[in-house]
Amino acid sequence: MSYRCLSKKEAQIIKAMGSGIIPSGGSSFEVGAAELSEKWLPRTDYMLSRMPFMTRFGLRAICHVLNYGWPLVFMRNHRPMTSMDERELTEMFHFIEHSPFPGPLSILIVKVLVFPAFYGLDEVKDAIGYHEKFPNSPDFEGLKD
Amino acid sequence: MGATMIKEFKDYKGNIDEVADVCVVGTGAGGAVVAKELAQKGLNVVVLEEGSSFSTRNFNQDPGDMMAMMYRDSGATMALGLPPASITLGKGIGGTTTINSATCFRTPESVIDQWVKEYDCKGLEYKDLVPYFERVEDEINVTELSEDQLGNCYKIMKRGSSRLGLEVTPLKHNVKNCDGAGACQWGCVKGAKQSMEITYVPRADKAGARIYANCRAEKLLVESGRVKGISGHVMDPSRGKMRYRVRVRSKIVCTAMGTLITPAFLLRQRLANTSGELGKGLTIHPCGRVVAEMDEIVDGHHAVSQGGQMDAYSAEGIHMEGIFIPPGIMAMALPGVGEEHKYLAAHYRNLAAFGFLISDTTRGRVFPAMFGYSFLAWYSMNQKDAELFRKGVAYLADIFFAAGAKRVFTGCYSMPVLHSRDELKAFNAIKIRPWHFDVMAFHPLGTCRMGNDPRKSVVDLNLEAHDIKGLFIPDGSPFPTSLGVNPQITIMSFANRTADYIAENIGRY
Repeated sequence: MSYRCLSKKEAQIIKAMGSGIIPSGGSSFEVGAAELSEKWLPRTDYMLSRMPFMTRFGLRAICHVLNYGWPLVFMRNHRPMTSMDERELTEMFHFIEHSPFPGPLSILIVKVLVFPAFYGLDEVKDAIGYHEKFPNSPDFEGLKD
Repeated sequence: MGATMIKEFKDYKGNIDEVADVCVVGTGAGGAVVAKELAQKGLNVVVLEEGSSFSTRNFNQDPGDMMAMMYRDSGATMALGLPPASITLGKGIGGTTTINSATCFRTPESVIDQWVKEYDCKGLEYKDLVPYFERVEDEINVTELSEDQLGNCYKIMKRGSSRLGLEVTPLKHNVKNCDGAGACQWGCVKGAKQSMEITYVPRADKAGARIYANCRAEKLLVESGRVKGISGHVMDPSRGKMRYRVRVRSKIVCTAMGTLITPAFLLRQRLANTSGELGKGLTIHPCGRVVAEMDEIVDGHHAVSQGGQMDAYSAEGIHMEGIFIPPGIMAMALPGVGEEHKYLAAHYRNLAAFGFLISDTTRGRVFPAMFGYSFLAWYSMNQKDAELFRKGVAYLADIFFAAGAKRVFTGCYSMPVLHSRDELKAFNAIKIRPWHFDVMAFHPLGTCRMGNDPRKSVVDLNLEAHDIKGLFIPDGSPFPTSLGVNPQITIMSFANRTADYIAENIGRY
């Protein structure tokens, strides 16, 4: 899949972030971020593409740094996030979230990149029982630049 | 928007050259009001807006899509500092009014008194502003909604606060036929919110103002201390690239680009800053959000985003206001990863939320635009405000526990979850630092301070720059302090007052 601004590697890193923070299975709802990544990653990509160049560049660069940096700093692990499984990633994010400042603040990057895109998918809305009160306007034409 | 004649990128075939009495830059709460009032008084008005024109045809209620479409920088605008504060701004016809929560307050009288006594605003009187409040409230249909439209978060807060002897009251909103779609911040899907692109902008258009979307103002043309016009470029909204040149020759320019962009625009050109105050004095109303997990189904998203308010702590500088948001944004405010997170997402319908804003004593600063940003801002919350922030969280947590909450999520990294009032006592005792909080802000003010003394302020009480004749700044930037409440009505009223001044004195320019 090609993206507006993300490279294949960056997409893999963000997918890993998603799969760690929203793993598949569990007692709450079945669907996880990894299995729907082809649907929500383009949405994240679209959001990033509308940001100023420096913000976009910074976020993309941070993804690469965190891919190696987080496992190394928090788990003493030399494997990048992209080669960790869901359980390991979840464990690491849990550890980061409960670490001293700026750990919890840094996890916000994952949330910004994953949550708005993931929770806007119809499958996910159904899974959590979220439905808008009203449908879109009958004259809805679509998004606009 | 019906049959308005707003021109957009697709309509442009070449450079734009205009001559006008007044050029207004920006179509938010300030610019739209000035444009409409002056056009209706018969002046020749040209309006430039950097963003596109959106309507219910483009609103799909999805925060991710809507932020990317009509929030400046996809919603990634912020003030740097510890903690960094997210300050969301609208970009499009209607400005931030298109994406605000439609909450309306008049300027508190005590704030005007403070400006007069402490901020060199002698001559400003509350009673003189009242007709303007009435006028703009009438134009945008400020009204009180029924409890059903205010939603279950409002009812839960009311229940909790009444048990504590406090009172929650309905907020006033600028809406017409509102059914509580709960999508105020993502573009009202029902077209009920009476924001600028539905009210003032079409009225300005009807009165003859020529409105150009996708036009970015870049340079104020000044000769011998007098405004001569403004120049800029037509922007291709899909690529963000400059296409055609825009030039408007006018003896009056109203830069209503907002508190963050107006000073950055002027600082970059080294204009209007003999006082040295331009860009300084930024206040942002730091906002907190407290979420509670309830036993009952709340469905907080099936009501207006901000339902009620509580002013019991306003004297301390804390004003409580409702807030509810869709799951993709709500999840960012909640702790937990993995199954812990999924549990909360699956119980979204059981979540209730309420927010607060604090009248900040911290002052930030705006710097000239660079690196492709329209502004750079620095705001690092001080310890006094952090303590106030903690109080706001604690007051709301207490109310939620009184209403029967199982758990309360504080938005504080040091103690993100409270299970009981005992834990609330512990929360009140822990050492708090400003960066322990997740801070948002929605009301930047104060970067082009008004006052009578040109050595201490940027604009006079009519919002005209002391340094440049014919330059007016009718947005949120002239207000010297936080208001303690949402500033929409204040900005609109002052802009209306400025429009009257311009119309009465047009012969002098």
